[in-house]
Amino acid sequence: MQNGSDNSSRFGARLVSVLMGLALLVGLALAAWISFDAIPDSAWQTARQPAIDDVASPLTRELDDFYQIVFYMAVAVFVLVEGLILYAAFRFRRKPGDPMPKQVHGDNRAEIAWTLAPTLIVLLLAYMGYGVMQQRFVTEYDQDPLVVNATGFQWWWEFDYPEAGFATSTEMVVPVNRPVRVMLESHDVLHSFWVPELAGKYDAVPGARDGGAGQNSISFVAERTGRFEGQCAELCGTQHAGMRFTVIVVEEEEYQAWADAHAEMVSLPELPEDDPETTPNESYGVLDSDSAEVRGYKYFMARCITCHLVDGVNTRVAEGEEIAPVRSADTPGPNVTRMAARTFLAGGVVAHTGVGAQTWVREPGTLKIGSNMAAMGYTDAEIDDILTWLYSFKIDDDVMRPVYAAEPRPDHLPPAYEELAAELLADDSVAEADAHGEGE
Amino acid sequence: MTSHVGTLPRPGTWDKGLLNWIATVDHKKIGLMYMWTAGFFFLCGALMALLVRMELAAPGGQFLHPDTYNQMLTMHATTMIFLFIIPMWVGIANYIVPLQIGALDMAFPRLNALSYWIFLGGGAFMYSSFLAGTANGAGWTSYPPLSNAEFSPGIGVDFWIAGILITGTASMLGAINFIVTIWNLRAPGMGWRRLPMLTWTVMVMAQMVLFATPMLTGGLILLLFDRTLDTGFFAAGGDPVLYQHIFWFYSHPAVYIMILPAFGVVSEVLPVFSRKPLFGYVALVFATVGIGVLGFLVWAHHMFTSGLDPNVQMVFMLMTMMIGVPTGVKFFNWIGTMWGGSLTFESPMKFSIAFLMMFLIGGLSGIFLGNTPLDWQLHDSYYVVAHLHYVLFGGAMFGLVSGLYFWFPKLTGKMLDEKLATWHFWTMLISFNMVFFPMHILGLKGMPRRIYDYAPDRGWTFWNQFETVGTYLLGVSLFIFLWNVIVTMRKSERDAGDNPWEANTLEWSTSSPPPAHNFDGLPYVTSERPLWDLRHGVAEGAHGSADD
Repeated sequence: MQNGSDNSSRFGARLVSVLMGLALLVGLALAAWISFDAIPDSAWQTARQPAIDDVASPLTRELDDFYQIVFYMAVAVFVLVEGLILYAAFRFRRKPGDPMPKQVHGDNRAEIAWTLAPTLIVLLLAYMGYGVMQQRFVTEYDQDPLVVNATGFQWWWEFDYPEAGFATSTEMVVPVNRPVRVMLESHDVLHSFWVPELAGKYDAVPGARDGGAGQNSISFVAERTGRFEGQCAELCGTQHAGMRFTVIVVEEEEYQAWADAHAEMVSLPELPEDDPETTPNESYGVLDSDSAEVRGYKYFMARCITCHLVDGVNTRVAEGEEIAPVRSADTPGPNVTRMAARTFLAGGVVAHTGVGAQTWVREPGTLKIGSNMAAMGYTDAEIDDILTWLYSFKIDDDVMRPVYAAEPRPDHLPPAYEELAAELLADDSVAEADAHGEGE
Repeated sequence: MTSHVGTLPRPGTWDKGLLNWIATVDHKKIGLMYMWTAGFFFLCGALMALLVRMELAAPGGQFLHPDTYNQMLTMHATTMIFLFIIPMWVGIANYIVPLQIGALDMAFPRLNALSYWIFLGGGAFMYSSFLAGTANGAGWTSYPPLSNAEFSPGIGVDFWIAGILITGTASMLGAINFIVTIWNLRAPGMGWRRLPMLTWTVMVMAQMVLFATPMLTGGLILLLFDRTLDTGFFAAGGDPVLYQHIFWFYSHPAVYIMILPAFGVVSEVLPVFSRKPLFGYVALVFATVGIGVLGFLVWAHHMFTSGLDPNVQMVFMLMTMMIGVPTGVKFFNWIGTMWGGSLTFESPMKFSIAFLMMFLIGGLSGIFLGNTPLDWQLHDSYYVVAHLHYVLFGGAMFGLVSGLYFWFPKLTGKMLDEKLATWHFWTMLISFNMVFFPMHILGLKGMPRRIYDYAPDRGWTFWNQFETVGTYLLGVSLFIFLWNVIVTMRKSERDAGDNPWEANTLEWSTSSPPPAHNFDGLPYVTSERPLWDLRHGVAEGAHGSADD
């Protein structure tokens, strides 16, 4: 780049302000960084709005603080550059009679300066980013953690508590102020575990599990109690949008009570002595017995057992042949042993009301289009029996309700679904058709 | 070293008649066919975007089946990337680059025609899966196992793979053609430091296409094997993450393939409407090449949540940040070009300035996303959707529209209506920001991308509705542009003249539209602004020589 010396020195003088601005920017960034470390957390927190709504863990707080710093630097660059563009556009607008402008081909000093300034800024940002990045891998969020195996399915999450020895789905209860390590697995396709307020996201990669190579985990410490909505973040098929879950953070004692109750809650119905334990499909329809629980049990064993698990039940299946106990994570459907305790069904899409549960079992594809749950062709009465059996192994309401109702979420079943559900329930012809239709 | 060895088009290829279009090897006609075809695919892609936005206008399912929605978002992205932006640039480059370097045609005119017809066939093939009832719904990324036969049965993904393989082949043939053309067919005197900036960016883009596309081709063939031959490259037992590496090794450079020609357009437009030479030509060339090289070293920043080793994440974060340096250099050089100039604001200039302002936002949000820890929070959220649209719409699209306004008189001999262009400009600028700016907010509020439905209690409803309204306005702005083009094309009078903007590159020295043989005569090129030198005498500060 050769320049007419005249032009370039005038030009260079004009650009002094640009360079000053850039220098100021680097200075600001440094100052922000230093003050970020120097100001106590609380002062910094009260000083600004979080960019990530309602941060509730040290990690997201760290991310949010860092976001703010990058944001202010970005705003500075934004104002500087957009300002220069607009200034140039207005200041150098052609006026009648303007002479041909000086033909300036470049200015080496300016160009070196505006190559170096961004270099310094991005190196600084990368360095700061590396510092924050290490937070995720330092052990303070991971000391003596509560381990939860989270398995992504199309389209719901299963939460398995290996220490306590039970599994549930869609709602994950964890104690406050205690590190939680979520081990991510996938049953089918890629999923991504994301609770915006508690942790960033990480992918559940199929094929990686049991702590093996490539298995991802995500650790966090929840700072306060409450319900935190999560959602799958990696496109995973038809109901990617309907793959929601909730992390419910409670006090340590509440968590213990909840976990104990969950670990113990199964009480299978006592079957009559002479009950033929064979061929459930045959017994379905000729059953004339007993209590709603027993009927419900048989209906469940006839069809639902294909995909769903009830702890302790699957070994009692059909024709005297015992099926080895399986991991819940290997069955296609959720473990429904503790369904009674949950406030949401169907991957967080259907509120667990009486109508909600019944409609969901009857018309899963209507409430959640494309759901892998199949309509089994049971009548309302039969569904009632199944639900009665499932609800029979509940659950100490005094323990459960406070946990789930800690901060009740408004019923987010879209109004259209509610109407639809009511309509379906009122429509006997549909029920008739279903009663005689074959399950798929 | 320049020489003229191109094949002369046969006489009469500029005649009317369908056969003359089908049989043509004229780079200008092929360029126009590329542009019309890409324009058609743009309308298809825009329609799909409209359906997506309408579905998201309120919580609850609206009118699209979730599978249809997934197909819409997949095909919207695929269309806009593979069937609109890239071929549209290829079309513009096809028309303009040979003219800019003073060539009679592309180096391989028949290969050029072949590229176009292969591209058309690939696009048509991909779209034919709609007729067969199902398109790909696994996202334009089509990560396995979701894209495997088990989870995406039907022919949608197969057609999608085949379509991309076919259009990718067209891209590679075209890239070879551009490289050879620019290397060999430059006018006498046009050394590398006198090459117009659009041609420079097309040169770098073509080399990126040539280097990156085979990777995607290989990966997609393996995916096709997984689907049809039951191999297990990316399925259980294989490695799903490996596919992501292969995919992004192409698809990150693809971003620069789409944006570099926009840099070229802006680097052409700003000097013309500022009546100054490009500020720091050599620095801009180095920045372009630098982006081309760095663009290959950052792909894993799309995979910060896949479980890469922390040290690998750190390296890719650093490389990603470094892309900000050549981009920053470009910005300051563009501003330096305007600085002290004598600016007028015809439509190409308006859109180029809007490009600077909007692309800057995309660049800055990229700083957030490229930063590994922030990406854990923002990845796969609407923040990413905002970012990529500020880059590809605010960047590539505004640059593209600027280029269309700039070269339309050269292509047709007719001037587009400035009043309509101003309406188009303001409606597009405002509605673009209405649609895409709130997506940053939604991403921060935790809204994942690619969902067809959301709960009403998440606080996402208002901004989604706002965006949908913006989409309607964006549609209006598009129709203003189309109206302008149609009305202008129907004008009988050719009012543009050879050089309506007083531009400085060789394409403006010939008639509008150019004759089949392009030039009756060429000046000896003495700088990157040969026509300026003709008008004003060789500039004192001109750089470069015929040989370098």
